Amino acid sequence: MASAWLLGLALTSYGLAADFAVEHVTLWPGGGPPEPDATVVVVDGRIAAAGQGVAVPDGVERLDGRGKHVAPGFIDVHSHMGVYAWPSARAHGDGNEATAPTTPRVWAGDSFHVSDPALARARAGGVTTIQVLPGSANLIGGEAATLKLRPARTLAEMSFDEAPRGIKMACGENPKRVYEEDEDGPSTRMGNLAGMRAAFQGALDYREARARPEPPPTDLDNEVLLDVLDGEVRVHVHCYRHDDIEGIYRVMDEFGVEVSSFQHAIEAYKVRDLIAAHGSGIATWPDWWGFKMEAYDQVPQNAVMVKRAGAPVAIHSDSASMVQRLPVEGAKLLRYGATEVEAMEMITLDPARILGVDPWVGSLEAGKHADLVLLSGHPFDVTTLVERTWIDGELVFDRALEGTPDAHP
Amino acid sequence: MRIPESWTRRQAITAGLAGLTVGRVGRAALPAGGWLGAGPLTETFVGGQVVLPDGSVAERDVRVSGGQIVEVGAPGSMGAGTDLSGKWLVPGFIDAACQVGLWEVGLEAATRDDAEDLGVSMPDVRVVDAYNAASAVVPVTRANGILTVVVTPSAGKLISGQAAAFATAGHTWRDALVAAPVGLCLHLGRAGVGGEGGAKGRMGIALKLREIFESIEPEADEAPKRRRRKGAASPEEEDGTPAEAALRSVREGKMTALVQAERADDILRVIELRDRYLPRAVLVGGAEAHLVARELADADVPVLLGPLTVQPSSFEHLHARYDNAARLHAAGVRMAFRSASNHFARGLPTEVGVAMAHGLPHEAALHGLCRSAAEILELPGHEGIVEGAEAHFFVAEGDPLQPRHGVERVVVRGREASLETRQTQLYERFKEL
Repeated sequence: MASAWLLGLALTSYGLAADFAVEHVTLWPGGGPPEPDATVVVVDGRIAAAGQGVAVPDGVERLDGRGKHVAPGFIDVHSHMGVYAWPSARAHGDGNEATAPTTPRVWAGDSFHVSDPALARARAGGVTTIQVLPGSANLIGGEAATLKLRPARTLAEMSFDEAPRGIKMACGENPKRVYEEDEDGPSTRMGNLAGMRAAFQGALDYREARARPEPPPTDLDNEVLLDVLDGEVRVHVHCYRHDDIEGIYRVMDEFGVEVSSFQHAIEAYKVRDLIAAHGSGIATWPDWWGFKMEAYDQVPQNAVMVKRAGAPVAIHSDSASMVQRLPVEGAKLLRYGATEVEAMEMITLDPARILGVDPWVGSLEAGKHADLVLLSGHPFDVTTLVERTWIDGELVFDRALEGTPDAHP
Repeated sequence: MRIPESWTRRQAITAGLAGLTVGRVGRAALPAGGWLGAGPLTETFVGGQVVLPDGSVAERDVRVSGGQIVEVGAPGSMGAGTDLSGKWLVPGFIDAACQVGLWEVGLEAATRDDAEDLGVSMPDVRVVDAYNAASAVVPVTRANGILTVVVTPSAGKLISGQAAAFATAGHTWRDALVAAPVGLCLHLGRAGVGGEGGAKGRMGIALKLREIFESIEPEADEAPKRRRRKGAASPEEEDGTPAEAALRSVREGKMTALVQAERADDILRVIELRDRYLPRAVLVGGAEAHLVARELADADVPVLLGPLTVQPSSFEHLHARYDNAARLHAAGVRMAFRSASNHFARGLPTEVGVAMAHGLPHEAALHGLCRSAAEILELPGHEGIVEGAEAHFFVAEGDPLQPRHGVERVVVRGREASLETRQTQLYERFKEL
């Protein structure tokens, strides 16, 4: 693919955003049913209008979308791209600050390898927004980075300016396995939850101490935890088993912290009422299971059962490979009872809700960022490919030019 | 008590019971071996789209009697029968290399029987000695249309053991057995590094292979007398230890060598090994095979390709591509598909669908899933939906390569089998709270 990489060397993108419209296309708004023979108009990097009978203003480039489909850019709320960059190598293992079970001060953005070749392939899969998370070794693993998948040489170019902060926590098998040999643990589930309680209580004590005449020096871990306690940071908890979900609520309710999402959430279906009542969401796979004990009780209906209980559900990848095929994962849900509209929501609007970025992305509503994909056919047909991806109205992938991007250089 | 009030007593009891789920579901009786009913299937299927042995699709009526396909005819030729209008009748898919039945839970070492550690070269380690026909993974695999699995030990040794093929129904491993040994598994590149005293890299792997196979003379090059052991009571004993017998069998081309290689140069080494020591070498993996597609086609080395969505994520396969299968097919390489997985063998048809999105023809995709592995590995049965063949097929809601289409019925080796799995049991248990 010499042409593609020459292009990549010459420019970091296809160029500046241009106003355009896709006409006569089947439009998947992100929430709600698809509309045949519709038009989407992009002006100044925003969706100007989308739907049937929409007029295209003068001076706007017109693309014929006959036979094709348009959908919002896909959103993956659980990515380790950049923090475990390709090619996999010891030196690229930057996802887990596994030096202590509580490291809220670290930020995934500081580990993020902007030149990870996986990013281009995710763009070729129609993904426009990712939440990059620290790994799940730690009870409190650090802050997440919500990024736009713009072709970039600097992290700053990938910033999703409006996105709220997020923090990664983890319970269950991983932290207790990673720290079981350590003197201070945790080595059990009760140790996990005790460690979280201690961290939050420590932050409250720190706040009190800071108000005294001779305050302790600034502690970056506690500063972040106080922001969490003040509701300024969205909380995403790696959690598989249903009783771990309940346990997390015991701790969080005690400290008045809301849980934005449970990540992986294999057994969420068993306590979906509890999740919906708390206003949390989940991020899960359609059919991964069995890789560890807490993933043994997977059912492929998990996603649709939780969604119908009233909670937002994101189909996440946790994989630099699967992220390239989110609609294929969505298609799997259809055989387990999800409607096409539900499946589309689970890779667009619901993940946006979970990240708190739904005012800007996740659906093709006027005023939102022009993050969208042009698909060669029905989004849930396995043979369909993403033909073009736009972010903020800027063309960031064109299959006619690039094919599927190679991983080098 | 910290249990919040909103968490009602009934919900708390439900959750408490859920903790017992493993035991509960474990005790619930699945049909023995997964088969339903007392005997072989007798039924006529009409109006369905039938996948033919070459992978093409046509509307056909199919009559099954006593577990055998007795007639395949034009639509309407058989009168009344089970109406399959809008549905597909598909020969059982074959996962050409996976670990189904060898382990239950990834991180629980006590449940794993897929990777022995008895040295670098373990030619007499046998999958048949470990296959668990009662694994929860087997019904899940079956319910996704994969009715035959070729089970190999995991990589990580130079010679990891002997593969075997099983149907995904059967009360015991003997019931489920299709063929054993199917081949001896060798691993090149990083997959072959490991074990005490093992090679650290490719030079060591090559050296070990020379040492192993140069010490075994094929029968044709040697007077039978010289090989005869003093006081040998049987032909088996004449071959030496079981390990030597297995190596000799591979060296003489009586047993297939399943040689895993991912990097292009390692794949070329498989061709060299075929010419020198392994007359019936089959390439397994082949992430970068498209780079040497011409060489593979010219040498007529078949491939058990996969996983098909392998990424350029490692220095072992920086050139992995989605159109690998399409390019190999275009070059005329014979290939079947492997998941290289266990719990995720269920995803194989979708992986093949993704290869189709990147240029693999539909016919080649279906032929590769239904027939190729049986041809390459000389498995008995698996002739497809043709007169005289055993009924070994499934009914799908539509094109089985589309992930949205589920499997409605499965017939394994002439008998209808259950679609109940540990997962359907859990679903039934929790669909109402």
